Amino acid sequence: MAIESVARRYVRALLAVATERGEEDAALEALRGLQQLWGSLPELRHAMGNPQIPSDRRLAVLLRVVGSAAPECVCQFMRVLVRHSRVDVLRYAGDLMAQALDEARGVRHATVTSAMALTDAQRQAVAEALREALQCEIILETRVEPAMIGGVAVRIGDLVVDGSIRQRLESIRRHLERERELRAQAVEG
Amino acid sequence: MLKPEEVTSVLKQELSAFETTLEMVHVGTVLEVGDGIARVHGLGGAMASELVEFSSGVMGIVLNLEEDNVGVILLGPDNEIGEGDEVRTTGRISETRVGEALFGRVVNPLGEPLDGKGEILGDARRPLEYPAPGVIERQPVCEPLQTGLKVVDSVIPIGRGQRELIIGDRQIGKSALAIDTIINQRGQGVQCIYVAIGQKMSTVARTRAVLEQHGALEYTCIVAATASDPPALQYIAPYAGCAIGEEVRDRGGHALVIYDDLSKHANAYREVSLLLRRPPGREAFPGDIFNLHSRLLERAAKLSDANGGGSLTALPIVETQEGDFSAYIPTNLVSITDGQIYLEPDLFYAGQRPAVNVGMSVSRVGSAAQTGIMKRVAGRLKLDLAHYREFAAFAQFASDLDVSTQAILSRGERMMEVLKQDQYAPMSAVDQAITIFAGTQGFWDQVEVAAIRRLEPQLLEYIHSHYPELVRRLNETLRLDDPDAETLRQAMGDFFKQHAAGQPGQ
Repeated sequence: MAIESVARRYVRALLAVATERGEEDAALEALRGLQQLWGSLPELRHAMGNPQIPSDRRLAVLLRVVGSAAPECVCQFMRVLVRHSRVDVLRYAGDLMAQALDEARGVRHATVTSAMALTDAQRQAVAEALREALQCEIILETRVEPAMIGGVAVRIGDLVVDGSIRQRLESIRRHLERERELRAQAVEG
Repeated sequence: MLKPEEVTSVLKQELSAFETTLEMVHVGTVLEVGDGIARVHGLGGAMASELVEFSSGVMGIVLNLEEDNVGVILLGPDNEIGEGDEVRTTGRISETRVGEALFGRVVNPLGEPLDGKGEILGDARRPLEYPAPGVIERQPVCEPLQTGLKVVDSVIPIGRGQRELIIGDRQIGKSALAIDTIINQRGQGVQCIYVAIGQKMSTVARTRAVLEQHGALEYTCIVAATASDPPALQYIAPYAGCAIGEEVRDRGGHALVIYDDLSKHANAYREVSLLLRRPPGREAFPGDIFNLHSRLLERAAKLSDANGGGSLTALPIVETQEGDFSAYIPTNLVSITDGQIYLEPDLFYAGQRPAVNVGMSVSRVGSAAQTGIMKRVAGRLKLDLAHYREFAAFAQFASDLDVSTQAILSRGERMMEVLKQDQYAPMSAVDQAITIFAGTQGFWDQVEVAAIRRLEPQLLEYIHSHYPELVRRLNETLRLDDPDAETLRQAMGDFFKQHAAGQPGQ
């Protein structure tokens, strides 16, 4: 099974436990930190994948990395990962935890890209419209991309609503190309 | 060179059809691509068998929905797609173009022209997958579909709305039989769709030329997914052909669709299924291969009069290897269809063409789908032939046979000769009936076997010129009453007498 779907299951289980204890934000914080370390420290990855190091020593290292400030459920999570040789789940754990938490809270992140910076009123309007359309809480993130010429494009997960001038010009271009092809075919025929 | 104001008017004209609406699309990114399939990450909102568009403009159909990725089969070249490309949903279920404008044309399974005759007008579209009509919407098959082949129309009659399998080894006339059937639909009000799956482009071109030469192209649509097309196109080709036929059927018309051939279709589906990592079953075909073919063939139907009375007849073709009709795909299709026409290499090489093995072929609709005249004339034919085969088998060992056995053998031999027919020479129901009547009444017993094929056109010519009134009446009613049968018998008596006297047909 792909490691990502494995990670998703582990993280869901952790989230359930953390929610019970009211520690979900602290757990997210810890997992984010771990994911970053995992990405930036090849030594950590090698050590965790090395069967010559006994598992209790590997666990000890992980627990020290996590630190004493981390909630109990995260320490427990490390024990589970080491016992099942699934420490590589950490590669995705932070992102997946954030996703799962958003899902549980009914929150979605939207990236709004526009040619010029949006005013507060515009941001409000966009957020309101999205909340209306998707029936969930929206956390907006804005980006400016002058190449879009005008309009806005919104991306929420896989969902894209592109109302930019650039996209419209692009679809006009495609339309004209198709017309030209059909005409050329008709002339040949 | 265009003048500026002309450019403006051209642009205006072309843009008049253009409109944009703000729409929500789901997007994903390509994880891997190759061999006609792609795996896409994201596309969380994709539907099964939805059309998706890659950033290069190639379209695909969603076939696998998995937890964190989607398996897509590509309807175009995969070399323009790269890892990380964006994929968008279109909100449309895979569909094809349908309608009158397709007849006389060669198109790909998406309804795009392949014959260089320009754009196909009209934008009627139908989904590729569509539920088959239910019990209430149907009626039993009752009208005949004339193939124009004596051996089929007399012994294995096919009705409009039936599904009759054509089965046999390679190169023994399976497609020829189907094409003769198309040619015979001229003036019969049946629109034909010929679906070429996994064939060579040259073969498709030849088929088209043959149809055109015999004036059959105008009411025929050729849907071609050739061997060089991606397997996804070969996989959807029969569904596209079926959708085109359904459009005719639902408007109250009659359609005939030929799937040439479903073994290649099964192979294309096996290919995409294995690439999408679906578990293989028998002969490495995926588990739903039976459903794949049965949901296709179930769409052939004769609708009730309340629903317009239209029909869609299906003639699927399946190729066997060395006569092994107990392989997986052939047995599946035999069990799905309402009968099969079994073509045999031994008969083919012995000069019996069309090489139909009458004993192993069957039409489960039976004489309900036969014209009155043929029912009367050929009623005993199947039994006679069965008798003949039985005796012929053991007559090989015995040298002295009694008179009655000899009679059965000589009758059978002559009937087999009568059932021979040239390619591209379909016969009308009445002409077939006359020839076979001469056989069952024993007239052919008076002449040499070798002379039968030479005399057959002379006999028909004689009857047509001496008894035009009778022929006209038969053509109109398609029934043979006792007085007419008597007239026919007399006419034949005269003809064969004259022939024996050395002046046939005069």
